Amino acid sequence: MADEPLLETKDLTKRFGVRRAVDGVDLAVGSGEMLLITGPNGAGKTTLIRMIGTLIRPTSGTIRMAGQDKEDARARRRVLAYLSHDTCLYEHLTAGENLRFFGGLNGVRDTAVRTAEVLESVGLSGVEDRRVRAFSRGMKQRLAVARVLLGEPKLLLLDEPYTGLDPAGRRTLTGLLGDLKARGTSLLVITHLIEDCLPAADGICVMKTGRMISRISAAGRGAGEVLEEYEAAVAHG
Amino acid sequence: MADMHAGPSYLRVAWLVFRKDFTEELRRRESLFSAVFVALLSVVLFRFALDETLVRFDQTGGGLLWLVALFAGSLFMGNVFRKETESGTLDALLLCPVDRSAVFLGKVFVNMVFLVILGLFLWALAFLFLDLRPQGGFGAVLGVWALVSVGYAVLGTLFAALVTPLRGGAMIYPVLLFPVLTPLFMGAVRLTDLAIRGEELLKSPWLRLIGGFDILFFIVALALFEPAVED
Repeated sequence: MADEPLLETKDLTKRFGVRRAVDGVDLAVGSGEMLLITGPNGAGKTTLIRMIGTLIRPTSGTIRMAGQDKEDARARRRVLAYLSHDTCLYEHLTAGENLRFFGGLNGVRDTAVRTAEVLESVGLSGVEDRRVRAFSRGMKQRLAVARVLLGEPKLLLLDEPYTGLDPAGRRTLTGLLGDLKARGTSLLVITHLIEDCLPAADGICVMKTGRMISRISAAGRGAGEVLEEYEAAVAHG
Repeated sequence: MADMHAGPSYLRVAWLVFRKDFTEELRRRESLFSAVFVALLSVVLFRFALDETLVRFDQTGGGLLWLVALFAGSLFMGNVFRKETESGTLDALLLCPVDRSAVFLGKVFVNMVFLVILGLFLWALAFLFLDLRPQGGFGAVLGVWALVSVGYAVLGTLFAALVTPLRGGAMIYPVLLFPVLTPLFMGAVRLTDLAIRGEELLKSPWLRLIGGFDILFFIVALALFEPAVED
């Protein structure tokens, strides 16, 4: 892992009225690292990831990407991508039209070539001209993954990406995430299904009432040992 | 490897958003077709409800058509961001490394084009059902229509962005939008009446009012869009 983290947040806080949705979170994600964020509903996980993704403005604290001198939201958007349980696709457009549209906005120069590449990488070659509304949930999720791969992001933010997927779809997604990690992409994954991601994960961050209560190392450890520590953190947090 | 460059230009972003929205709307056939149906129904009702011996359409036609445009136009403009939030695509749009006001501009363009299409349709209906024949020709009334459409599209798009995250946003949309549009539509009615009667438009104070309204709110809306969609 590089000395300087790819992403670093310091004392990151978001208040909605008097409620602190995220409360002084310090987080560092290294290059090629995969961190899981988990915790009960309302813990502030989605708010945290949406602040990192420039979708919500923090109340206080800082978010910094490696190689960027200042907090520049637009510069940050150049190196990250976001995938939620919503597939974020236009159902009335074809798969190719969706990818060429987002490719164009993300500054991909030869969108036609890149579209074919990413479709092939998610096993959707041959459906470029089909409208998304005709796709199954699993196909849509794979196309959503293709969308976020278009610009080859350094950091991928995932918010409950397994929602609505059957076991085969979950295995496929886990495989795709593992491939991305192997290629050096950093991943920050919000999930309740930590066992699905654990083989590829480097750590688990546990959040509760807006605070980061524990960070558990998972690299090189057995799943049972990690899960035991995780359950203890949740119980005592 | 993806071949990346500095990013698309401002106008390229607006064009991509415009083309995507236009294609999508033609395939969905929801918002624009609802507006066209409302327009058709309204003009047909005017034809049968208003007594031609009491109401002269060459004097009231402008007001009637703008009234229809106000309601029919808000049907599709109010949807321009709601459909993005329903599918989750608004997040994907806002996460692209582009100036977000260019995304807004693309949405304004598509609403302007739909308002002009609605105007062409309404004037064709007015010609057929109300026997409305502008003495200055159709060029003048359509020119006024296009000019007013700029301000209407700008504010209609901005308010659509503002109300989209709100519960009951579709209900609040016209309540918030229509009062702000009042000066624009007063000018629109007056200027359209002048165009119908074939009178001079360029020296009219209503033309300056509409032009000033368009420029002012165009600048304000571009500046307000990013804070409006963040949080």
